[in-house]
Amino acid sequence: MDQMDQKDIDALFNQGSISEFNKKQDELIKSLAEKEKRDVKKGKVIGQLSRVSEESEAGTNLVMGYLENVLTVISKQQSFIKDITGSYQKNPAASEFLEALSFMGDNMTAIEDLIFSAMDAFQFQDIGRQKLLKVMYTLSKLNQYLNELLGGEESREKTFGHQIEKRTLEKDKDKDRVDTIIDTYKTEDPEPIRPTPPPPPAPTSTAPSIPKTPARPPSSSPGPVVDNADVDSIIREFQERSKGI
Amino acid sequence: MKFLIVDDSSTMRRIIKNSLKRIGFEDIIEAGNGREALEIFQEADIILTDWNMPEMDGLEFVKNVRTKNKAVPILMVTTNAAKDDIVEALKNGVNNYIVKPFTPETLKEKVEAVLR
Repeated sequence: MDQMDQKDIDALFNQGSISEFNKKQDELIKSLAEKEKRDVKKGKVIGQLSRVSEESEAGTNLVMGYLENVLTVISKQQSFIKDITGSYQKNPAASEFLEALSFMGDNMTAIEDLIFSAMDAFQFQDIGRQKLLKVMYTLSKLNQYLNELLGGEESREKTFGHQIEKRTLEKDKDKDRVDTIIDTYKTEDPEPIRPTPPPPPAPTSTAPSIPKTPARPPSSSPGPVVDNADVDSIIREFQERSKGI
Repeated sequence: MKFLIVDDSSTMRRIIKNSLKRIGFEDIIEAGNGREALEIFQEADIILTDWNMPEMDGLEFVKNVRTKNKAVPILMVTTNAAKDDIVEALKNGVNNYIVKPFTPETLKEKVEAVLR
């Protein structure tokens, strides 16, 4: 008789206990964290999609494992019912008992069918995974195309990324000030600005005016435009001011 | 009757394996792609292979198998559902074709068909 004792049942359900389930979940999370580190090299979005796919596959397998354990228990129970039924088959006093066993057997089969259907339904995971792979492939091709079109990823990051993230956005805070400067340019005398000649004190209304050069459009001109002749005097002024601080 | 299931998805291998067991086929070996499968396919009496796999895809695997073994029944089990795909698979030596997702009944019918 293929009958389960308590030890067999405990062994089967031990894998399904909450603590065991949590332990397996922890292991899964750890392994996914390791994969996350590895996926950074693949690129953020593609790496994340790859992890979604792996996470979903690992999770599906975990659930399928539990369902298979349930199927094993059902199979053992069916076998047990069959054996008991055989033993009481010729006993006329056991007809109601046999009827109950038959009812239990039918229920076991119904549960088994439902579990198989649930397991078949997990095909969605593989189909979803393949769709994700197509998205990842397309993103990868797009990345390659953009790299060819705009230059290497690294140089692009150096050229634009830092400017956008660390400068332009910060400067947006000072937008009002920038607008004021632009307005000043619009109303200023187009005469070129010249640096204040040394020695200090710092230029004031009494200091000689800086000779002006024609200003470029504000969008490409962060400050007054100077020529090389003015550079030395600006440096000297700066040095003198620094000494004075 | 020994089955070889070739699929890079462990979920799908498990589903096919359970379905086969349910219809009475217990002797099953597995491979995660065409290259792995080429090393063990000689042991199998029937092959169920996916198409889209890393390293060596299903079609390439079938072509390789057919250079060494013309008789072993091969079933392609895949999401590729275009008519051209099916025709291409058949031209290259696949005996029958299952589109994912499939029901256990479909699997049973197709397996029985290629074993007849």
